[in-house]
Amino acid sequence: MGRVDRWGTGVAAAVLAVLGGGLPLLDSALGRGGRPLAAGAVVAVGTERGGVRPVRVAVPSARWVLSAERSSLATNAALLSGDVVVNVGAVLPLGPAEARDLWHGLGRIVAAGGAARLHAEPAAFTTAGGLTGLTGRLSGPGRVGLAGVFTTGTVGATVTAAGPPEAFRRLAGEIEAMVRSLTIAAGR
Amino acid sequence: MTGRPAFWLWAGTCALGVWLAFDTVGAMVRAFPVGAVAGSALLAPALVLGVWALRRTHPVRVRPLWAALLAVGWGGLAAFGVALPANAAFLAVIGQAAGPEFAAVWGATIAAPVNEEPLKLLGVVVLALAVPCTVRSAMDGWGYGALAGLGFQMSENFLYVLNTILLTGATQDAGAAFVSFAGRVVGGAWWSHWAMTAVAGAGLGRLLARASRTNAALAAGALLLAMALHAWWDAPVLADAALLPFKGLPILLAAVLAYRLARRGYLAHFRRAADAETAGGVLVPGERHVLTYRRWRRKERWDVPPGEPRLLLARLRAAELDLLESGLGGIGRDPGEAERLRGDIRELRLRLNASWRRTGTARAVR
Repeated sequence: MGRVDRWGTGVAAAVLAVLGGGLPLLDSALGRGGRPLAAGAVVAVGTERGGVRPVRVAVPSARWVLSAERSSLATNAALLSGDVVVNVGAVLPLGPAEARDLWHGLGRIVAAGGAARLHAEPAAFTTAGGLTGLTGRLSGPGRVGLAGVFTTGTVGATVTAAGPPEAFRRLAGEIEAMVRSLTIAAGR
Repeated sequence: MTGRPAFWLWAGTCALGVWLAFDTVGAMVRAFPVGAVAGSALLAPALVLGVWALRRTHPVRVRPLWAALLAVGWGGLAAFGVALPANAAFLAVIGQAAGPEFAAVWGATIAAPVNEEPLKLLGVVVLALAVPCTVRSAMDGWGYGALAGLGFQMSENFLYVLNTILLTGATQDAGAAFVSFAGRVVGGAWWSHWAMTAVAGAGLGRLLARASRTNAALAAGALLLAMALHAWWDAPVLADAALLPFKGLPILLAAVLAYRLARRGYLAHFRRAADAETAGGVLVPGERHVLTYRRWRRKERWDVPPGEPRLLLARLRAAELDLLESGLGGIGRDPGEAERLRGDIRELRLRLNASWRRTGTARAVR
């Protein structure tokens, strides 16, 4: 076994360590940062069409931060306030879908995450803009929250909000206001 | 092979990659079994077809299956698995540094090439170190790079099946698998990871064959070109589905051009070496043509009686091809290899002629 073998293998292992270990370490060192949002700021989610992301929510107060780590605005935005997380997602069903289909799908997605489950019976909910959907409760170990689904037929939106019971109750009004502000731009 | 540290790096990183990938997608596979099975059923034949085709891109001989699987395994398990946390971390860093809006638009363009191209290319490095003389030309680097890229591409396609299920709200799992397959394999496989890593692999193959400053610069340039092509593909321009062929065409053209250059260099060496061995009496006149084309070698076998003569002919041709390739270079080259092979060829030729005479066939290999 030659010097080249040992050195070459060492260099390959070092590159692996830098990319596979160094970047996650750098991310951890930078901490859980995000962009603080002003009261009334609008967060838009979904694949851009003509420079516009279709699903939009307004933040009711300056207590919220848009998480840089947990958001990928092409699909979702994670809004944090302390231990409470509101996740707003855009959904593009393959064909026209009703809110009940999205609720069922969201239930499976939330269950796949392993941290929470949706409660069985959602109730109808209408946003300030007249968009109708379904909302219901979700819960997991040490966490309570709500979930909602809305659809225009071709584009859908999902919202999940969860946190420790006390913190969630304190912010429940703001979260409901956020859901009420949700809009979906028409067409795909 | 198992005595070399690079082999254990390959095995350990593949195991780590499987663990990391399972950690990321395991829950989704359990939650969406129909989509996962549909995706696997669609992707498995595409992977087999891709390996079959890329093994045959060598101009003279089919690449060995075990070496091809080592490269595919690295790309699909090791590189893909390590890329998952690396990409997530890099995107988070970009998001924190430049904001989530910037990260959503440009994050993949920056993070994916920087992480994924070196990770895939390491498959060629590890293969060259684990199995001496596997990578001894730009042609080998192109082929094994393409195979490592193909493995990565197929694992990523499976991840996209699951992502498409999420994007469609888990409303039609099997439908999402078909849509993802149509977009990423039928429509997008032609200019994907295999092509980018083939370009980088060709440069690296040249460096591994002959270490020189020029070849080091070429290898670095090829890696940078592969990264630039990857960034171009992920960039938020020409994003409309109808325009994707125009976006992909430069990547495919770069891979084809790298292939043509690598092939030309390989065949030039092959012909030079064959002519020298013919002049030295090791090969017989006309044998170069038979050796150059797989089809001729296949046809030639039909003229030879089955059994020992056909077996000996296959061994003779393999030894002759090894001899012609022995001058190419590569890591772990045995300086006495050429002389040993010349002896083997002489002996095999004598045995082949003797076995032919025994079977009563008039023709013999001189």
